[in-house]
Amino acid sequence: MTAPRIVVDVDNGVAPWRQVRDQLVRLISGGVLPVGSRLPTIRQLAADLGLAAGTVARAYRELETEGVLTTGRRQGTVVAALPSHAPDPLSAAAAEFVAIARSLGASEGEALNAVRSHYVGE
Amino acid sequence: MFDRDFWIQLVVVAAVGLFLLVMLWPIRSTGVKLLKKWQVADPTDAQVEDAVRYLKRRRLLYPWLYSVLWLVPKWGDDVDQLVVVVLAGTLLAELLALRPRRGARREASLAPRGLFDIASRWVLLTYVVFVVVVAVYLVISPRWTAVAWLAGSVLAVALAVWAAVARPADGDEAVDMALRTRSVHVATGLGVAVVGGLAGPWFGIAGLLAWVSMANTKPQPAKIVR
Repeated sequence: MTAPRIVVDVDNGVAPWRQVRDQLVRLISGGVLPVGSRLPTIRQLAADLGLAAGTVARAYRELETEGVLTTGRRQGTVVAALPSHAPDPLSAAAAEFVAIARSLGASEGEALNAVRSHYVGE
Repeated sequence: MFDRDFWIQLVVVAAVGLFLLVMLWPIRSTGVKLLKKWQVADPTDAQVEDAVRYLKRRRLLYPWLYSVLWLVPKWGDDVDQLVVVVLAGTLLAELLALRPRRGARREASLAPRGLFDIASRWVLLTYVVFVVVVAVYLVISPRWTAVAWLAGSVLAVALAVWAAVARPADGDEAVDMALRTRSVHVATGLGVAVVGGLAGPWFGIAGLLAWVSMANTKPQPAKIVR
């Protein structure tokens, strides 16, 4: 069985810790990581993603505060509960699009026009 | 010290190192064999490339290390020296693999990767038992130079094992995990061979047999999440 993966793009305009957090929430909400699943240590995930340990620690900390993850000395970091409010997939896609549009230097109007043109086109 | 004989010997040693490199240079079939041995059945071309790259990174170090370590005082025969070269090569390659990842898009598996997730407990236990027994024997003897060599080899093995677990993931996940297991088993096996060689001929033979056995111990099935 292949373990789930997460992808971080450090140039897409969204803070890497948020990318890690949002993807974990999506995987947990979608049942890919059920309650009780063990997660990698902060050091392991940070090394594999080429991020500072503090970046991954922040993502884990946010989810611990929300009660989604729990960290124990013996079992490490484990999924403790489903997120109470899973992010709306449309909102998540929009956030990703806005980040890419910003990185391309597009204004709000230009980005909205680009979206509208695709609706019209279909 | 640096007379004509020294330089002739150095050239001979470098030539032996280069000969070893040519003999051990990995090709596609070497990669396939390695992956099948470490339980990656029917490897794809990309997986084989990962395995061949892993071997090249290690074997490229051998001629240089063989030349440099030739200058180190010997305690045993040439087999011991060769084992030290291979152990140093394993350690150096693992440390070099700790370099952080570059590039904007980075991907990571969410499978936890602890030492006992990738390595056989029996291999690790065998190493610890061997070290303790030989350490007690050397202290009782007492042979303090050998104790210092033992301490150095334990440090090298510990570093290589730590780096094999901690280094960033590279390439295909199944291959990455299999090669980490290989690194741990080979490093501890080499450690046993070095430690055995320090204690005497019979320990040395036992150490070499243990090395071959440990380096061929199959990895346990990966424990992934849940």
